[in-house]
Amino acid sequence: MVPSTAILFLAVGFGLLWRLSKGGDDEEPLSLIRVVAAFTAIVAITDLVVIFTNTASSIDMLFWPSFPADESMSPATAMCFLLAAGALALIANGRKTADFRFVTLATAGLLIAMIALVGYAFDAKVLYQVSAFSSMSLYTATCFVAVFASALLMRPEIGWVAILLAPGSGSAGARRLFPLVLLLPFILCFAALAALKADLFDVNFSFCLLAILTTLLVGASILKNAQIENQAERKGIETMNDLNVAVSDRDLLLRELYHRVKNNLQQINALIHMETAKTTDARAKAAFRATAGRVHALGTVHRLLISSSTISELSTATFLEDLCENIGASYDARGQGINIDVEADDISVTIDVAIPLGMLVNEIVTNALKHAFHGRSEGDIQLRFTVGNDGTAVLVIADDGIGIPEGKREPKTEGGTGSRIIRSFVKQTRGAMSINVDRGTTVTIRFPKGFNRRSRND
Amino acid sequence: MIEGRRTVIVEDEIMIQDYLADLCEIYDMEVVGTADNGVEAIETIRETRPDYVLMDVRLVGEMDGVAIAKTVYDEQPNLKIIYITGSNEPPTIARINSDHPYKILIKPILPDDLRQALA
Repeated sequence: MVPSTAILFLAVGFGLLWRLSKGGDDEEPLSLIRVVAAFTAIVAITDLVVIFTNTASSIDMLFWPSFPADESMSPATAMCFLLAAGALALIANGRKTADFRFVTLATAGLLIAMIALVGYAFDAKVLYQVSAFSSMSLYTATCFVAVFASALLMRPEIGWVAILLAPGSGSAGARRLFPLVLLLPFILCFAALAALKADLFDVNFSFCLLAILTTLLVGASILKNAQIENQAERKGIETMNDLNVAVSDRDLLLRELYHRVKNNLQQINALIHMETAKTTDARAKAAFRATAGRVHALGTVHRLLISSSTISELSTATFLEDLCENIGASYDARGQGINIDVEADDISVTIDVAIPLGMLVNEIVTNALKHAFHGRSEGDIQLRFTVGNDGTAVLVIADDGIGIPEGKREPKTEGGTGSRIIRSFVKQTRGAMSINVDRGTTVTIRFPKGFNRRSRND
Repeated sequence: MIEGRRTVIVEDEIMIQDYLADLCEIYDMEVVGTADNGVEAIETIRETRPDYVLMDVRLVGEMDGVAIAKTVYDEQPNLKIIYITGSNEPPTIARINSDHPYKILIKPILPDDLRQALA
């Protein structure tokens, strides 16, 4: 190793260490690394120019004319330093394209250095016949392998190093096969060379043997890899099956739970009806009936959740149509000539959204059926539930009835319970309600963005 | 102002919030604030400095009732936190007990349960 090579190794090593200690966050060390890279590149290029223009046998001789002519920084060494300079400049960068170039340069450097190393292992003299490699010393080649390997390992998150070190089973397989793939071709070639030298086999037979053994090695690696991938896939399928079983168990349990809640609600309704039958007071009867209607609305949510394809969510269109049909039936809307028309956008909502929505619709539609058509033989109630692109929603329930007198612009229900329920659920959903009386009553509730994403922490 | 009987209710079901507020009124408690999520609850408790907090455990949002209690308890160590929770499974009860619960009531609660807890 000549002085110029040693100096450049010091510079490159210093650059790598500096980068390692600073982590590359600071601007200062980055610019310093670029200076080191530029210095290395300039020296390497000068060496190449000196050699190819025959100005001197090497850069060392240029500065120290008494330097022995047969000792010089070889073109291969200069090339490796150029690659190292490029890698150093790019290691400090951080952009994706720079990362790709860094890996390419460092890998190319590593391969060139390894050619020299393997050459030394086989026969040092051979290297001197390839002019580019002439006089790249064993130490130089070893140092380059160390420099490029450390540079690549300093960025373990990119390039082929990232694939080799990744946590997946594919990478684990690659790590297992990597030493084999690196060492076996070398050992095979070394054995073939030794056999040739010892005149054990002739050249043709040696190459035949080498070709077959290489085929065997590559084939074995591919098959081993296939085995690892098959195992990983089998494990994946087993895990997926376990998950599917767990999900269907959960669905079954949830359906069972909704079923029991629905039955409990049904029992509550039965209890309310028993009390209703006993009482003769009209106001008490109306209160019991309204309560039964509310419990029924809660029951509808659970009934639809049981039959929903996604067990934790129900579709708004089916839900609102079903609910209004129930309300209409329990207040004999058809018998009174009242038509309830529902047009609802279909989105999936969780139980935490369905219950407030259902309770609001139940109160407002019930209220219209009870109060809006006094003295009328027919009427229309229109429900529109529209979901905007921005995630907001609007619920409009309009009747063409007698309207609400000025000063009572809150839905009139028995003892104010209905308005209290409406206020509570509007507040809970962070909604805003407005009532407009003009040839009937229109109640509009605007739900804010993300209203259907309400969920509790667990 | 009713001295020593000032209460904040933290509950994300507004119907239940209203029900608890009604009960408080019956038992001579003054409801000085209500909240249905963690951020609002901490703000309300800091502003009103109540004597009692009726605290639900599972709430909408990032924080649960225990997290809220732990945050405000350091600032107001005399605060009496009555947990009212629907979750009576051991991990939840253990989590509540890791704080400084004054009383723990399991839903559904009857009016008398709250009266006794406040007595």
